[in-house]
Amino acid sequence: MMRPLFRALQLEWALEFRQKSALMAGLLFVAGSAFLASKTYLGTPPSKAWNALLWIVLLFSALHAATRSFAGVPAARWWLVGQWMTPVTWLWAKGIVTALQLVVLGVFSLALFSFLLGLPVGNPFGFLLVVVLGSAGLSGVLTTTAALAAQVDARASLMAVLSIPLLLPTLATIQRAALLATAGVSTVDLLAPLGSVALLAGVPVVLGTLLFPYLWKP
Amino acid sequence: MKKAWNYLGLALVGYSLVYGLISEVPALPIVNETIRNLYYHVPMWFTMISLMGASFGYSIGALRSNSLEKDRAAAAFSEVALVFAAAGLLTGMLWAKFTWGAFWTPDPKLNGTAITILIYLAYFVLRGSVDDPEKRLRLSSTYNIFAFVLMLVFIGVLPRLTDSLHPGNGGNPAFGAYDLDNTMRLVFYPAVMGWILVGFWMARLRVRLQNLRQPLDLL
Repeated sequence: MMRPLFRALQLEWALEFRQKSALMAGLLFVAGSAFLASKTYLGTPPSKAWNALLWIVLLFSALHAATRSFAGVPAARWWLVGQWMTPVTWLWAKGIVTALQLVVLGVFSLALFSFLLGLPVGNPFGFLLVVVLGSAGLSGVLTTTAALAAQVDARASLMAVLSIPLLLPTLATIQRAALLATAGVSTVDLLAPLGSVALLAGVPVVLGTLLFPYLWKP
Repeated sequence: MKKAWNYLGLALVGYSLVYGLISEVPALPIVNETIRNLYYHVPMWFTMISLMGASFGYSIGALRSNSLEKDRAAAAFSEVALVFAAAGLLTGMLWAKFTWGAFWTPDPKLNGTAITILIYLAYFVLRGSVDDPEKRLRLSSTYNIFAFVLMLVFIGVLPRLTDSLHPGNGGNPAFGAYDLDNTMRLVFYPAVMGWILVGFWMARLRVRLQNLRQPLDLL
């Protein structure tokens, strides 16, 4: 199980790295939004508004980056990949690469927001943990819905329609953990809310693993 | 045999509609006579979840056997489930206006409902955007299974995150805890049974209609 997964990861990583477009587009999106917010706000917004801004920007850049994960795959590569590995291995490789991209996006947004808008957070390390786990946690739902949406023509709008309702509860748990970290709750006390984020992030991974073979393009 | 169940459902719904209004209820502060909403509001959710469960079952069957008929049944059951969701939402909003003072509050229970409705609307958007029936079966069944299980997890987790005003959450007594006396049970349980039977009847009629319409779609 581990060896094929590792090789699939190598392949996906190489392909992503060659194009870089998904990640770059996401980074640009974040940079543009953060810059716009800083020009509009002049100074540090109240911590709740700051949180709302950060997570909205992260959600939409994540959505954008994840849509690319399956959308750009030519039909021929589905065939080729089918010769090399099982569908589930491919899904996991895609999911892990997407999660890594989202973590990069999340940490980048956090850094840029604290540079441009200040960091009104009581426990910065705890908040960083929430951002890393939260953005990686979005990958489960996003990768599966991206695989679904990639097979439909109107994929960009469909991706938002399919994934946002499923992401809202995950975002609600992330938001709760983020607000606790903002209020300065110690990292040890953050573990329980982070656990519920992990739980809500883990369920779609299991479901996606079970269902992806049926999504496999024949 | 199926007909007997349908008529039983109709009879139970008729009984609960009438006796829900004329039977004795405990006189409780604030809630007052709105406690009767238990007979009209709560059965909607029970019916919705049962119909969604049936739709989930049909989707699993559709994926395993590639049967378009099961896929149509899954869609029909979800459609009727959404009708009951709308009814549950409306009856709940009316009740909230008279006891909480507002039609809508940012309550976790209400948010969960809104998310559920959004998920099933997304399911229909997905169905609408795929023309090839085989492909529609594959994609929409997968989404239905994915969404139903996630929804159950959310409904289990979300209301525990924050306090809720809704009966049965956040330390508020559920009607079942001690307010639901035996006269209320005599109306409440038949109401739940009746609405579930009527809901399944509606969904089966919808499936039959869709199956009859099928040849027309090919023209």
